[in-house]
Amino acid sequence: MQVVGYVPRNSFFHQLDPRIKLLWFIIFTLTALICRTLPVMSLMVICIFLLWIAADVLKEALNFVRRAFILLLIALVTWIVFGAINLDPNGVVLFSIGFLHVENTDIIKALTTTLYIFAMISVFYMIILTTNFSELTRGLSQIGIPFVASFMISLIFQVIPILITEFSTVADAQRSRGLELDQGGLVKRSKSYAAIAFPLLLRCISLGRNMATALHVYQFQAGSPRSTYREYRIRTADLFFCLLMAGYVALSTYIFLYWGR
Amino acid sequence: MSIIQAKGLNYRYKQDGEWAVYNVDLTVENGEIIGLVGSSGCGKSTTAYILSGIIPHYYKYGEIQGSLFIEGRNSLAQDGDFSGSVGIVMQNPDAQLFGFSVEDTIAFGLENIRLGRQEMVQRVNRVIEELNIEHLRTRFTGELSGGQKQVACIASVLALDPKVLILDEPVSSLDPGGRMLVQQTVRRLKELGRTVLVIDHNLEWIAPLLDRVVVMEKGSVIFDGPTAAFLGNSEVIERSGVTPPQVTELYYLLRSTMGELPIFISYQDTRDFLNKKGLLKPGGRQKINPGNGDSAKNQQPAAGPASVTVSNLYHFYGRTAAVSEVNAAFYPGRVTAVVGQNGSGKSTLVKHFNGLLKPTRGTLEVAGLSPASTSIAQMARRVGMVFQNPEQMLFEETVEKEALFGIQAVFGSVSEENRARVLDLLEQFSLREAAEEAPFNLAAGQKQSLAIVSALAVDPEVLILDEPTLGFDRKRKSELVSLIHKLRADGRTVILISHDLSLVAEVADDVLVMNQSRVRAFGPLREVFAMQELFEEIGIPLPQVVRLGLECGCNGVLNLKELISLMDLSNYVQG
Repeated sequence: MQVVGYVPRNSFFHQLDPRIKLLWFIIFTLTALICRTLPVMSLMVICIFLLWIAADVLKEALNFVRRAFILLLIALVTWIVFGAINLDPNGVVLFSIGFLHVENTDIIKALTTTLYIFAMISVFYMIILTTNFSELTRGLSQIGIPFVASFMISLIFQVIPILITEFSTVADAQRSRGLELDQGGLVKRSKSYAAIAFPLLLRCISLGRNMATALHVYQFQAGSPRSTYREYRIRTADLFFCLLMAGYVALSTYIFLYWGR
Repeated sequence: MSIIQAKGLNYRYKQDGEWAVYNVDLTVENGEIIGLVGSSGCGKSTTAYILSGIIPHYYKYGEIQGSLFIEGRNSLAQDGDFSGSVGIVMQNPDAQLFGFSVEDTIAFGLENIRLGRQEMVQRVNRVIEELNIEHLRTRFTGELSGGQKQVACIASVLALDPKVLILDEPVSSLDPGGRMLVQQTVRRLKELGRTVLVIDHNLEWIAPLLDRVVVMEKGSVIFDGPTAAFLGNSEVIERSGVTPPQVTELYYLLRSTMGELPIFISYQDTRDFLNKKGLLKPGGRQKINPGNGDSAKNQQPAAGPASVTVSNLYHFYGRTAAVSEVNAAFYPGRVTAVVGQNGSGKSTLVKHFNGLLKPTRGTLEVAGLSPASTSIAQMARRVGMVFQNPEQMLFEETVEKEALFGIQAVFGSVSEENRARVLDLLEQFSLREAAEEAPFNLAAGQKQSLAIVSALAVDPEVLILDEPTLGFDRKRKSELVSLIHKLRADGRTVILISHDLSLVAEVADDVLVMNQSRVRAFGPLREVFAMQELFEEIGIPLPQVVRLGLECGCNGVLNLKELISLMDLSNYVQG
């Protein structure tokens, strides 16, 4: 079983207090939402790349970029096409194809939006790459998120790999019986998928039931207060990272206010 | 005072249903290691759930009667929840590990009971030290082996400091390495004076550690006594559906010749006893009769055209080799067992035979076809595969439809001839009467039988059985053995993946041993089982009978009759 995304390393980012990582996530998300301009988005993407290097997860992150590339390309082209339908009074038409007039502002908007999408996914992915689900649960709980909610998030990370394995085994078992998923009309295909979906559903129910029983064994009470095994304390490295974040916020604000869009 | 005192315990899941547990009296004393055994569906797990408080405090449905006192407190009282007094470790460790690392998992329950941090750290450290798992402390639970996961579960439950620990079939899904790890853990718990209740069908791995055995049948306790008394009572063993240690079966055979003997429970004690009596003398009667008790097997060496030929096969997952340099041939009318620890490459290898996996390098020929260039659906006509868990493939409304599914998928329609053959197969597997029932209502053994019928429905030349005895009691295992013999007699190529080497000794003609993606040995069963050093190296214990044969200096003894034929019993012949 592989944990979804988490890459165990001893980097400074991995060792940051999970609350600081969540704060970083919030700050980057808010900056992107409020200061969505091309220069700020470019700065954010550069920072994310630097963090990937510093966190020693560049290889895994680039794998992710490769997988997301097509999606980002589609987003870029779609925004250019949508922008090209309408004429912007401040824009300069670069070229026209039929009724589409591609202006410099369309390109800037499309690039900004694509970088925004990329940054948002990357910030989330950075948390997943560098924070295991136990840290994440405790981090979320310690910033006031109810434990039930943070535990649910943690369970998703635990259960997804199990379900992927189950799906693969069920699919193999049915294909071994001659099931072909890509053959026949709609009815036949629906029936084919039912041959996988039904056993998988029952396995999920069984897994859920076993997990619920196990939670009872561990005397888990939803909504009841709990103690915590790991107490996180803000260390010098966390403070230093907070300073870096403050610098980033200041620079982003300055660029947003004075460098235009 | 007894830790657990149950009297007249009755339980049924539905108010108008049958009693799953009926009139159970049970006491558990401090420091005992108890085996709770019985055939599938006899009420063992339900009893364990009641003792651990899951019933009635979590499963609140159903009807419960009688009394249950744990440490003198009424455990059935509505206002009390005693889930901490009796801890339970279930079969599937994946569903019982809540945390990223092992120590997070151990701490999970302690966080729930709001233990102070200092005490929590002490408890986690204590449990890790008690079970000698310091090396696992920071390991990610998802990357542990099955045995390590099960030990992590035991540690997590032990951290809650239960008075009694229940292990519900803890080794049923584990490879030999995992089984040994859990066995060592139970031994450690015994040394620590812990009270443990172990539920299992197979006593071979645990019998020497048990102080007492409780046998259940149809929801009631039919035997409760010391392990020696249980193993010395062949009638109760038979009724319990338990697979006793092979040395106990040897005891019964020798007793008929040697008269009264001390019961054989552990391998070491049996070996010492037989040595003392001079029955394991190397250089004694070392000529064994290969046909002795082995009549169903193919006595001839493999010959003729192979139905599966593997040449220089490699398979990589990313950069990791799952199968390396495999050369092998599998013949019609022969049963070949593929053995090895989990992750050794067994399943990856056989998934090439029906095209589920394509070789990274090398070639294969299966029933005249190349699976690498043939669709899986086409291969399904020639190769049937039965997966470990039948529930992963059953989905139709009725048993008959399920059995016919493969024919429909492979041939596009069901001819009268095919239908007749499937009905005949259902008859052979005692499923004819259940033909209109929903597959999910069948008992576990019937589900496995249905999975096999379903694979046989298209009349494949090659049948692959992946761990078919998982969770089987003795009766079901014996039925499976008969079935495998029949498949061999029909001229099919049977490939059996199994951790159960006693089963392998009973049914296989050839054995292929895999370790770390490579074939370490491949040949006739007797020759492969003579490679004691290899099996020791890869951490798979040979069956007790084989090991006793090796003590006699005789390689490749496969069954009790062969073993006894090596012993000079002339001094003991009675009358």
